[in-house]
Amino acid sequence: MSVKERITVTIDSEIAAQIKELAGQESTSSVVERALREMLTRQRTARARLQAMVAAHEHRDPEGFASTRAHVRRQLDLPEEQE
Amino acid sequence: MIGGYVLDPSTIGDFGRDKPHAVEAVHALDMAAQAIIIPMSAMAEALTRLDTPEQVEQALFLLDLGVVVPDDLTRDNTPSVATVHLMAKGDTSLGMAHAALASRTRTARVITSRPGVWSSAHPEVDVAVLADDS
Repeated sequence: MSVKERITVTIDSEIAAQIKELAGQESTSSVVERALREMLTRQRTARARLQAMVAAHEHRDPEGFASTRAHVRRQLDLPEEQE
Repeated sequence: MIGGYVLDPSTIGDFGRDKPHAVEAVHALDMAAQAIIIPMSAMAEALTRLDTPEQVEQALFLLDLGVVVPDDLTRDNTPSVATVHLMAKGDTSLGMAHAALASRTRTARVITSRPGVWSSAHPEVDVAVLADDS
């Protein structure tokens, strides 16, 4: 059984109206929770896929990809060791 | 100031083609929780230049990442995109003009692999250069 926690968010009235319309007889919190759950799952899946792509490049050409990584991070002003 | 990085059509296309520099750029920004802005006309332009359905699907998958902020071409911003296109100093495209506008309004750098095109068409835009296919 999942533990429920109440949070309060402020949203645009136009979006609120759309959520209420979408919910119909269902509670608005259920609709919002389901939408957020789907969004978070999609984002987690996307991140895993991206990490798999990076791992494949690292495996294929370790030295070349290390050089690419250093170049990209310099261009983006990111620290060399981000992970 | 919002900040972040804007992907231009060349970078979106390179990501679709699984080019290491584009994949690493997106990965590094995702890990650093930096916003990646994708002008949707740049996305459409990139998609039309890809060669296979798999490349198209891979480019579109960018939109599922949590750090990605899609920037739509809307009734409100279309005149400004058109103006940026008209004011370009060299050959540009709808996707590049939209990226240039997104860069200006969001105070974000453009990521590209065609720096020569940017420096001639939109020299005022701050770009990060991943490769040089100009």
